[in-house]
Amino acid sequence: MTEQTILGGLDPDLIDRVVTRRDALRQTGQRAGLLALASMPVAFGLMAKKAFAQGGLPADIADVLNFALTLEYLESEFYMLGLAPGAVDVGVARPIFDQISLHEAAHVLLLQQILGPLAILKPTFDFTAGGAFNDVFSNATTFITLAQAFEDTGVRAYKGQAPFVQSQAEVLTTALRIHSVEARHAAAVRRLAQSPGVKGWITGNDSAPVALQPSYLGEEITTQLGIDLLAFGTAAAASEAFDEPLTREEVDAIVAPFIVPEPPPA
Amino acid sequence: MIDRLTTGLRELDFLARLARATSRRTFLQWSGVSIAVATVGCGDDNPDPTDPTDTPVSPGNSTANVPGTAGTNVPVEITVQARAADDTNLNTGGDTVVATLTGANAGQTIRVEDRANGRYVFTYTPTVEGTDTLNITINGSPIAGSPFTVTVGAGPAQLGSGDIGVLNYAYALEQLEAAFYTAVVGAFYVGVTAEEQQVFTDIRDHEIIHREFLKAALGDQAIPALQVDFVGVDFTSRDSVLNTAITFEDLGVSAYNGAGFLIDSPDFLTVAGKIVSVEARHAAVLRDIQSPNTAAFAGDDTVDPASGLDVFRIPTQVLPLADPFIVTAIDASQLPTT
Repeated sequence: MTEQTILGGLDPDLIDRVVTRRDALRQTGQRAGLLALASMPVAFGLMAKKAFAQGGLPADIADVLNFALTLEYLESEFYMLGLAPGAVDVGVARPIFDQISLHEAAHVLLLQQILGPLAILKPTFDFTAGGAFNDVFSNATTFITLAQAFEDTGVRAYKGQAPFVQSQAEVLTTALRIHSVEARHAAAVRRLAQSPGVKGWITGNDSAPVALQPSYLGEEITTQLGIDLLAFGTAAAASEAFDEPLTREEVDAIVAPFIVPEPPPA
Repeated sequence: MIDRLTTGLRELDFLARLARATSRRTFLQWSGVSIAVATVGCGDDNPDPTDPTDTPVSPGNSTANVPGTAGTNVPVEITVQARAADDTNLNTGGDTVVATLTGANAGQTIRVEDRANGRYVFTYTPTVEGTDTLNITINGSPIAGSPFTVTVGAGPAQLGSGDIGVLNYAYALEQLEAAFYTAVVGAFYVGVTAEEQQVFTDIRDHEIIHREFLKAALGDQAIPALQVDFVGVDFTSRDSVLNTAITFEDLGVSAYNGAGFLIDSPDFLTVAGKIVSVEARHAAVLRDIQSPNTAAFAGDDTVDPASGLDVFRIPTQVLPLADPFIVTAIDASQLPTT
């Protein structure tokens, strides 16, 4: 059942190769396996398969991945709706958003594959946040403002979770590889939000609308590991040079207005 | 002095006998001088005249391939070839061959191996720059060319092991990036726009902060400043500068992505995460400057469209790509691999 879920859509020959390779990798060690499989997209299905074969993803790891999946569901649906025919006109930036939308959909699929039956279902979203952003899917400025906040929050969220998946090399590396893609998105969208668009990095704690300010609180720090960065550059540069993590609780609070609470069971 | 020498020689003799009794090799440190002795039982210091293969050694005809120069933290290997009076190579071992190291690296351990084929291999690893002197004797008499002089210069930058090694690895890459953007900003290509000047200046400032932060975090375990060489980069050409910048940023992103799992400390992992997303922002902005309003900022050449995953590279994949730009040799052999 698990195998069907993860590898069901793949070419049988490919599955055969993957499974054979997995068995070989067991003997050479988990992390060596990660490296050997680095360039194989199917590695992630394999990873999940291996984890299940060993008794399932650890509950705490699955929990972190479901947290990530929630954010990817949010981003993916946001772009899908915003880029739908008749929705937001993003003008010449359309190829940028199409690429972002493609990646977010791929992230959803990837995390679903890794989680297998443990994957949570997509929540119901309200991108107006209860009316705060009523023109989100008709006004390009609002759309881009929210896109920037979602991407920057995504970067901070993945960063904050890295230490919690450190015990699983494959999961950590996968998360890092998503994290840097979110950062690329964030930089490109940030330039679209400026006129003229220059900086792709966060200066201080930004100057977002009040409703989005929690996405940037803490970004202004100029000390890392107790080392004062002001000895090496300006406060602006020191804050730009390091992106700060958010805790899961902080991220949950940021996205809560965009998620429709589940009705209580009848 | 004579007393000390006598004591030393007695000690040597004892060790030689000990070596015969126990193993084929021994080495010792002796008040700032290092000595290695190779000897075994039934040695040629007591040739058996009835054995036709047991040709007596002639120290004055025996040779050693001592390198004239060496680098710090790189093992020096010296092979002594025992020869007979007629210059023919001996093909049996068992002579008492002694190497004594004095000078800058006196006190470093010398290891010795009697290959039992007429060759004796000594190794030591100098740690400081300067001049070393090696006296090599067989059965108490100096071999041809002894004493030898080894001039020790700066060896490769040793990244080190564990988290320190990974941080030094990042420090090396940040040094490269900071040097590159310093050169770019120092003399912009003709036709540079205000936007491009701002972007390159910002990135230079970020990379300098990354570099100095890592240097401070590493403290006395930081590798030295690396000598870089951007030969092949035309700093007067927008294309050349942008292409190189994008190459460095994408390489940096992939390097951090592929080094995370090598880090033990959660704090260091988080700091690496704080840096890598900024490198990814740099890459995206530079790519967007090169190909505005296209998918290039996160192009399919770096983000696999099927999985939405960015490239990652392990250190052995990254360093050869950085190598053309770094003059100083880097020793990454102690980096963790898991």
